[in-house]
Amino acid sequence: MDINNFLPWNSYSPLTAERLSIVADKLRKARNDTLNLYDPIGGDTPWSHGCRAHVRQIKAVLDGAKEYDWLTILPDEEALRFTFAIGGVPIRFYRGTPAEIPEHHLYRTFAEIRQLQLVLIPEARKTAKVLRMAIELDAEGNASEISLVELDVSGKPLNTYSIPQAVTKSNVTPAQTQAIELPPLQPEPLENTQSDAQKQTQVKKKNA
Amino acid sequence: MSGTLFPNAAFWGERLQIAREFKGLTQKELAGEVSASPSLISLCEKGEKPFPASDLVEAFGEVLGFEPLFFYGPLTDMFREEECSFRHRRSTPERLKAKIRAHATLTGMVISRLRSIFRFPDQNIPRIPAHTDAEIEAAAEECRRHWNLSLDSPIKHVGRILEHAGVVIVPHLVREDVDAFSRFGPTAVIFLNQAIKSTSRWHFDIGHECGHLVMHQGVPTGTEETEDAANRFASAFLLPRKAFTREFCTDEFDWKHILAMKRRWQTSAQAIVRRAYDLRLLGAVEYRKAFKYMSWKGWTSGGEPDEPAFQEPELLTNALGALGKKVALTIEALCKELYFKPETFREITTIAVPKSHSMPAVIPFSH
Repeated sequence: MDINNFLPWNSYSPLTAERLSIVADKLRKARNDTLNLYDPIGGDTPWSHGCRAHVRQIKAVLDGAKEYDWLTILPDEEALRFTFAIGGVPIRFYRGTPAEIPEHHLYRTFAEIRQLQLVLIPEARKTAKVLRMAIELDAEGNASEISLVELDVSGKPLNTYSIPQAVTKSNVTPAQTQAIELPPLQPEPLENTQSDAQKQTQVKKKNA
Repeated sequence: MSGTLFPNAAFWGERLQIAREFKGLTQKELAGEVSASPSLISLCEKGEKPFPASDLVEAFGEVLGFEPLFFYGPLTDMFREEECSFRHRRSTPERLKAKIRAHATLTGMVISRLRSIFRFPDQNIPRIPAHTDAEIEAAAEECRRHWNLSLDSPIKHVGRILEHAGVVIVPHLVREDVDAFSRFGPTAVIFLNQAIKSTSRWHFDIGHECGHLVMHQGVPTGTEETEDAANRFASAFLLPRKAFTREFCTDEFDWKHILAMKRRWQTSAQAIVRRAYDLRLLGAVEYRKAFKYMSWKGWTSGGEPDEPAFQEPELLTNALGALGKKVALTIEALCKELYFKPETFREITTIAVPKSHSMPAVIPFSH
């Protein structure tokens, strides 16, 4: 596994450092905010907390999709399976280290396969690799490290990229020109064809 | 048989032909309806029977939806086949095209009369013949320059651009197998299909017909070459290459970006994808994938998301709407002047003629 030299955007152009950081920050914040709600005295268990954190992380990405054009959610037949895409490149997330990938995350889902068939990024379509975001927790349950993991088709991790926190967003918006809009045409009568009523109105206006 | 309606006025065969074609009848069918021989109908249409019997002319009027006087006097602006371009399916029958041409000629009569009372924009369509892709791109850009339209900006209401250039846009085609139709002549018109309630498609249809008006004045159209050229013109006119390339390449090719471009440029996602392919911003494989995706989503059959607000053509509608308000002439009087029956006027313009007690059922024969 190449930990140090893997830069996702070299293999998948939509996966820029900024975009990965934005998504990872959302996942991290949702996970940590959920931890503040954890109430073992009230009956929460690690299992119920994990479920709550997971659905809140999904919600965070769903909200992100409304905010960013490049972030989309892929439809899936399985209600609880969640796949998002950055610039059309499909990714799923899980809790754990890059080396300890849950078995059900090792292979592509139909949603990912369908997306790769439709996606217009040649390098992403040609590749037979699988991408996952691994969310590592510290002893207290806070998200300490989030990585992008690239797996081969047999589920073997190939590369890992540790996603930095809060990469500065670019504030440069491409300049766009205003659309051309002409006024609607209201055909006016030729001088000799005005109605009597209109002529009278004009005369009245003149006299006034 | 009774005598002729107007001993001194010539029956005008082309008017009969137009009325018959508008009704969608063959000469034989009309002959059957009026109990005459097909050869007599043919003679009347060719102008070789200048004084047909009055009852025959009345029968023509009854069957075809016109007053008998309609058939007399010269037809000053007939829309001829060589002046017209159709955007249609290959299977569209000639009879349907003749019907649409006849409809357009009758609409032309309405427009001519309106022009005599309202100030319409002068016709200002550049003539730029073009054959190769490079020439077509240059023609579209030259056309934009001719109308003082920046090459960098989207056009929000393409119909208005053409209307300001003196082209009347009529949204009254009803058949599904003809998308649009245009005619270059004393009255330049573009007919759009009212069944297609998609502004982005209408924009492209207008751009396509604009291509014919600019590049194919006096050139027979309908071939694959002229249709492809008009499509390329529409793409280049609506999505000028430099601005399009700049904006297309600001982001990765995903559908949100395409739909954002659609909202800004007011063209369909299909037109954007095709433009990207034509400009080699997309490879053939990506282009095919994209169309497969759009087909899967149902976009190619008219269900594209993010359609711009519907934009009705305005010039003809506004002029008809001003009758009786800005000028003394009313819709009823216009219908009467043109010798259309009210139901025919409605079919031609989609505007109902108010019922009037003063309107005689039969035009007096004396003159």
